[in-house]
Amino acid sequence: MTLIRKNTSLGTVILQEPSVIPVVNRFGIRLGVNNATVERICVHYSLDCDFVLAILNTFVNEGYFPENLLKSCGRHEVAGYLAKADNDCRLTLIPNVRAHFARLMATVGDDSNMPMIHAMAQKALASLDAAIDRDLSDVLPAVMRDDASRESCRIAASGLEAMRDCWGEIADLRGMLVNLVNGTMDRNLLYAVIVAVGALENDLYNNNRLRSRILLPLLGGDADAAAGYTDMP
Amino acid sequence: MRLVIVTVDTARAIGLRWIAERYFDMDACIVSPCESATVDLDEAETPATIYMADAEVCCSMSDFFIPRRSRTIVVGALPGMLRMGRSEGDIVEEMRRRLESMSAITSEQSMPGLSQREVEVLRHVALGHINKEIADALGISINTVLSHRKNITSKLGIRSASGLSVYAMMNGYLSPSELH
Repeated sequence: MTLIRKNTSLGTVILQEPSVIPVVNRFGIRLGVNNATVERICVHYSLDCDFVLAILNTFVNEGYFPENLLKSCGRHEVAGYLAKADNDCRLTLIPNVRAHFARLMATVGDDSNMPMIHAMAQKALASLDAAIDRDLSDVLPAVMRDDASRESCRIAASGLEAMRDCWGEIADLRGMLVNLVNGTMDRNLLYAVIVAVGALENDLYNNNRLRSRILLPLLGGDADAAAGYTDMP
Repeated sequence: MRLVIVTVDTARAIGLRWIAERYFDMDACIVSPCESATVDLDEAETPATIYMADAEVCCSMSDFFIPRRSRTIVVGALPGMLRMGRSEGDIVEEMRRRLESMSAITSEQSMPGLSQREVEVLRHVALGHINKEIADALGISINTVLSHRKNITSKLGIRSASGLSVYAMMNGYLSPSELH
């Protein structure tokens, strides 16, 4: 979609790209935006409008990545956003996938390979839960320390690696739900699972872009090594 | 349509042949999974031949069944396999669905096939082996392992070890006993 600007109506953005709703929620913005512009809403919620625009555009435009703008915001602001994203992922996106899977599995027939894919999903979500726990307890606090050092950078790099692995498994999961699934099941519920997994995958992908392209370089990490991440499977 | 049944259990094979002939008007034959089985199988082969084989047989004769996986119905207890121990009606209904999907999805339309070497690498990855261990086990360099892994990911669209494990199980490249 076209670039979101300060005078763009947030309602129009959400109608065109409902996938930004979790991002909007993370900033504390409630739906019922009443056709107000992004700038006006940011003033209302006391938010840094440039930072909000940078994050929103990163999510809705694959090719857009305002590296310099985000770097100018600083690691505290980026890490603070990632902490909210982690919590949102843990409390909303992951439970959403689990709930939809549970409803789907109740409709799966004996002839389906879905139980194998479900087992993989459970394992992948458990790994993601663990990676998020570590991100919140070790990685982001290390990044936000005033005396962040090479050790902070090392912790951030290993946290990114774990998050990348999780994203890879979630991306595979969605591909398998589309390409390999067979047998009897409720197709509408399968669609709901694919949408929920897709939302999680997209969120992890974009948050990992922030980690690799912004957070790690701000800590003096190897931006070139992190840049390889941008290839989707 | 020709059906070749390869199972360890002879009584099961006879039952499956009866169902194939009675309900699907198929030209069915039974091949015993002995050492000379591949010779018998080669003789029975036509481009339209469909195979029905135990999961164990698929694994032990993987050289034969992997290239023919789009035409093979795997019999076993795991999800996605043709499960026995049910009423005749249930088995007939499931065979009908599988035979219909086989005629709908030709091997050309399905996912691109893996080479024999790629399947071997896939099996090792699915078993949790690291690249160095795979290279040592297959007698190839780590770069060659990486090249095979890249090709596998490109063909299947699956990159994680857990995803490849599930794929290997689904397609009979790994038996549950091997995984455990």
